[in-house]
Amino acid sequence: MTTEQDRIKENIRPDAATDRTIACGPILSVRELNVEYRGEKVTKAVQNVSFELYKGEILGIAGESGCGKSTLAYAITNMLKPPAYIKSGKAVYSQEDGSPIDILELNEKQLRQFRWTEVSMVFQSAMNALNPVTNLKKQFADIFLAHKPDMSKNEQTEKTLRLLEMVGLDKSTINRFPHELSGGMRQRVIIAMSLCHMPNVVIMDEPTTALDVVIQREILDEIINLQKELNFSVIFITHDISLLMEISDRLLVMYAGQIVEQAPTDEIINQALHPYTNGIMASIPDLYGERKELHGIPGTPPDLSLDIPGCPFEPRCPDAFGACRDIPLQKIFLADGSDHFVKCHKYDQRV
Amino acid sequence: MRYFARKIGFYAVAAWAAITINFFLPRLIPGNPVEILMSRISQSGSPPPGEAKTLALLLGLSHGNIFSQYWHYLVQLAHFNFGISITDFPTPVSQIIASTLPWTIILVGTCTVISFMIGIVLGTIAGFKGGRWAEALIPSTTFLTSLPYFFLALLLLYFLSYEFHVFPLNGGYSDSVTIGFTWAFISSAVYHAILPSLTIILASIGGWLLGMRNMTLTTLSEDYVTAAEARGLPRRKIMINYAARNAVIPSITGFAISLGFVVSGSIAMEYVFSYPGIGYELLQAISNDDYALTQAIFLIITLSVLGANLIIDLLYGFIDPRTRQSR
Repeated sequence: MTTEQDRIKENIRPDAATDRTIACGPILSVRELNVEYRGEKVTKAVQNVSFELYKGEILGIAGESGCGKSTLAYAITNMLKPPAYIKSGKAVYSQEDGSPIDILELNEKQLRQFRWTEVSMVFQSAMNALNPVTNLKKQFADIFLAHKPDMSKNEQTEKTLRLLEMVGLDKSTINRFPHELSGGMRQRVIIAMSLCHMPNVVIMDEPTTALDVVIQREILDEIINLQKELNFSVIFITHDISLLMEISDRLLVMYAGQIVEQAPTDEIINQALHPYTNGIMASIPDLYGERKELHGIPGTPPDLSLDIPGCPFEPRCPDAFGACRDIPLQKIFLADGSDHFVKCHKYDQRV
Repeated sequence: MRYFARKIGFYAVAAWAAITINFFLPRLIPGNPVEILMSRISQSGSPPPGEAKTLALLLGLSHGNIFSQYWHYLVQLAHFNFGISITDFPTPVSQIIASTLPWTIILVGTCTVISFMIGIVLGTIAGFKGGRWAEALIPSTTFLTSLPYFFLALLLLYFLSYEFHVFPLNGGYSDSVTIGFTWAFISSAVYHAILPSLTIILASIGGWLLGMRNMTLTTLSEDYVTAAEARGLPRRKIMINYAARNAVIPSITGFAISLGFVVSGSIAMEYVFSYPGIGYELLQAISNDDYALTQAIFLIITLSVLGANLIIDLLYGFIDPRTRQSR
């Protein structure tokens, strides 16, 4: 693991924003969020999730599929549709003037105004996130007019062209229809759309997952460059933790609807604590180092409609011991005042 | 442009095939129009000698073999000469069609368009908003659609015309007015058209509504609708430009088909209401073995189906840009 970790460390952006940004206070603060899906049995998809997003940082959220990452993203923007619902919690956003608003308390009209001007989203399925029957010019215009009804036609076109250029697309793309674009081009369009109103926060839900690795790299570079240039905050959701180790400032690892470990990215690379985090890191192939056997984590995530008194990872955990089965987990901070915490009995002195 | 030429070429070939089949098909039916006419004339007195031959000449049945008849038929068609009707002997078929076709096209055409539009609008709203009224609307319109059409028509006719005299019993206009571009005629025609229209719309709206509502529901779960919501677009815009715009595409195809059947689709309505349209005329033509008239009406039905399809085919490129490329 060391060679891989060293290599990744070298690749970390030199201006990793951790220390610089925390001083400014969080732009988005999620407090004790619980999301459930109604059904025969209630599925607790997101459980007691709290985290902060600071201005200008890239916050990575990693985890296997089915561990609540996307549900969390939809919940933060108040986009959940039945049978999903927010059981409790807050998502407090600091407005430009510093006054906080709880996104989850906004009414429909306020939400409509809030979306895209403050927080925008890049969706997982670039293939389907564009309306197939209208050209891009019209779809960009829709976004502009939704928030600035008196924007002139020329202004719309001009701004669209500038955005397309920013994401590395040709000007002629403006008159194209979605089906005329490749997957990578569509994802670029989606990214351009997310920046229409220069939001402070962009939530990216697996923005590169559907693309091949070469295009993935290009899109990723594009995102990093844009983020540096425009200094918006990013919540980057992916199952690919290696990608996050490279681009994110801080990392949340989710398992079974909970954050099991949170830390600055370089601390995760050097000193991942949770057995699950170590597990997913061990499943990353090393491009340069010696050939070694990769280890996946045996088993699958638990059924979230069941009550799990102890640690949800216990059945799959190589380090599990007696207490893991039935003693509730708590956040264990690495040190007082540290940003690094883990939810694992291994590090809990009381257990 | 090449696409349009190819489409038009395709439809020209289809039209030719229809015309040709239309020529040969009646000739495969046993019976002979001259004999029918002769027997009808002999009912009112003995026909003069040589009458059969004259009639055969008049009906264009004596021109050599079948191929020269076929050629003659094509030439006559090009001049809109469909021959002479036996039902209304000796009125030219083209004249009968000219006097009956507009009734059908205006009434049934208007109803088809109205029914389609109401169905699409209600279907979109039912799919988008849902709720209690939509749950009541869909089964009730589906029930009306599933009733046999003539039964629905007779029911309305019995109550609204026979019992309560709200609407006239039959016909396309009142006997007291003459056909012309006058207020008296037009108001009378509209008055006579209300009940037939009502039955057509009631009977067909359910299909449009159900189809559109289901497609809207399907479209609503598409990512581009979710994305539009996340972008803060107004609900109206999402409903019309994102959901309905995509959901309506399959219905447009159905609409093309039903436009093609405007001419032939309402024979039952015209029969029940004794409406002076082409469906009623077709029924009479068939029961009178009126080859020329039957043939001409069939031809018009075929051509109108082809014509409606051609128009929709050409329009499709505008409705769905994805179909434009693959040509």
